[in-house]
Amino acid sequence: MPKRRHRPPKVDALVRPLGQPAPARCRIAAFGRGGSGPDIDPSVNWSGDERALYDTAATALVVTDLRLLSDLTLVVLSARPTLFVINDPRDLPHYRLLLQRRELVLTPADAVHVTGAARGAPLPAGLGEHLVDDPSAWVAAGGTARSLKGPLKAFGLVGKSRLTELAQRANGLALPSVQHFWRLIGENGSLAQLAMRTAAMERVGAGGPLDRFSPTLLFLDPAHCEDLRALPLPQSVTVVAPFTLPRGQPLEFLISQIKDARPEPFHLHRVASLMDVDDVTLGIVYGEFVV
Amino acid sequence: MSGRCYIVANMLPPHFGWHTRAPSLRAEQLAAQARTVFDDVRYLIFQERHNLLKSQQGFCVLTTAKPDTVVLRRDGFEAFVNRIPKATFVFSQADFVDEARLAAGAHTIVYDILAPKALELEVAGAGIVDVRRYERHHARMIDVSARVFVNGRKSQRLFAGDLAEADHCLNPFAPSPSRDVDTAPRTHVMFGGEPQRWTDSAPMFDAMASFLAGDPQTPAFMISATPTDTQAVSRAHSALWLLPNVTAMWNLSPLNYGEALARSVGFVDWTPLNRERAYATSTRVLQAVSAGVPVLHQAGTGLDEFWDAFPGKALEGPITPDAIGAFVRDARAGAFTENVAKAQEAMRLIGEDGTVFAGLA
Repeated sequence: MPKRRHRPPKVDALVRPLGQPAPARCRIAAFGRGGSGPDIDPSVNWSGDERALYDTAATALVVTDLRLLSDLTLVVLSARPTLFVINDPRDLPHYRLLLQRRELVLTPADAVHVTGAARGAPLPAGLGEHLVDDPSAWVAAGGTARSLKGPLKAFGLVGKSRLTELAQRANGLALPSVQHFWRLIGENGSLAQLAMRTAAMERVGAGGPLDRFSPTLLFLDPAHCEDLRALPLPQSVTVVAPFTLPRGQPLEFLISQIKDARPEPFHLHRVASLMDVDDVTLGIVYGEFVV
Repeated sequence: MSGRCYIVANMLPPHFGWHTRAPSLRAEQLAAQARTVFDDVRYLIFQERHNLLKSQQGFCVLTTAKPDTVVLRRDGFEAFVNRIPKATFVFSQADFVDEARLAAGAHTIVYDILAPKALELEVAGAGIVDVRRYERHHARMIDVSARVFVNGRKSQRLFAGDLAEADHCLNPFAPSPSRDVDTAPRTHVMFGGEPQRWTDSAPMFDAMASFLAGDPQTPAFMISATPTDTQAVSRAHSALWLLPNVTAMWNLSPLNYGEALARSVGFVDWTPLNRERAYATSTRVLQAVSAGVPVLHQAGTGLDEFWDAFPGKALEGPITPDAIGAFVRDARAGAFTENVAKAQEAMRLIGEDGTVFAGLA
């Protein structure tokens, strides 16, 4: 009798061509204290039992009262696009801790909606681009929404579990352990947490009391290399630039684009090639302008 | 002016960039003072030390391109001192006594006593052998030196016996403020710093935790590494970390640290007095004062005799949330502005004063 090869169950569609509409039958599992949550969309069925989040048919998750979730359940969040609804300020310190320890990594597939009593409370610095005012579009897309623009859109072709995997690979890439103040150059800041440990960093150039601190790290959208020219650099900065490279295009072109944008010497630390999707290589360039 | 002076630096001076988290502010001060007397002032860093400091990626890639910096292997030091024309070498503390002895034959040696390190070792629990070894090094450094600098009058009295025969002078530690820092509204209270093995930061962290939890309108910078669970500050640190008005940071670059100071209305540093603290001249406190920030510090340290009027509050007795609250209120009301400005000016003058090097060039 031929041996049957063991195939792991397919938990997440890895690749979905750009522009293709969301699957017709998307299912959203939601957790909220006492089986209820804020009124964000009628299609969200709240459950007070966190086991509801383990539903294998669910394409996306909505979570509120994060402080009540057990640690084990956080793993489920790393495999499904998740909308975090924060309506209780008590969740914010928990949220900040989970982000800083990278128990939770926000990917372009995830969104954060702040409502109710938590509105106006000081938010963890890492949320940035993930914040949505009206979550109904995210809910309607059933977890297929990706907040990415331009060439980096290819990162959005990847399923949530693979995005988490990319984040884990980025964990292993050495960034200098100085207290980082990071600044977004260009768009697509929703990739920042994935490519670097942003939650332990402070963000500059986006408001708040630390807004005018000099950056030690630039998160660069390579389509906006030109924006580097006008940037004052009073100290050396590490550059983290995620890239998508069509087959046959040399990486040196991208690196020289970064290099040529500034008069300071550019010291290339490393290039991490993360994965290939549809003949496009996804990766991250790490380097430093030495002042 | 003539001659060349080498400042032997154990840490990298702040102008090395964001890599330098505990910059050699004393080396920077000595270099600035020496420049008024010598033609050419350079930092000398031993390769072994430099390699330890540059363990991170991209760190110090341009060190060798800096014209004012020499990186040298320790075993190449003898050949180096025999090759170069007569120069002056400044050693802070007595860690490089063998090198000082090698250089003493052909060159002038200056020994800079920054802190009574034998006391630090003792209070930190070092063995008697190590303490005695350091004391021997200290005595040998005095023997080979043409001049000895002492940081502070209290230390000068402590070492009066050792220095009786030596040419010595007072050279208080006066770090210069970070350059290129924008002005900003002073909003935050800053506290923290690096706890050493001979200090106990737990009472201050506990008091800060109670004060900041009770006053959510006061924002604060907590500059502290994450403690391990067994450290005494760990509980207060966790509580502080979770407070929405506390920004926890650690390992700041000299420029970012300067920027944080520029946003600080007051700096809190308090540890119980012990034999070593009585002579301590806390670097972070001096840095805060040089940046124009009033400090809350314990009375009875080496800083008591640094200024005519203390730039802030020298607290008698233990630190309490009320004491911190009163200090912050006074600081916001500008009660210390005049004393801080005077202290700043005094430190600026010391930093530019080259007379401590007179006659050595």
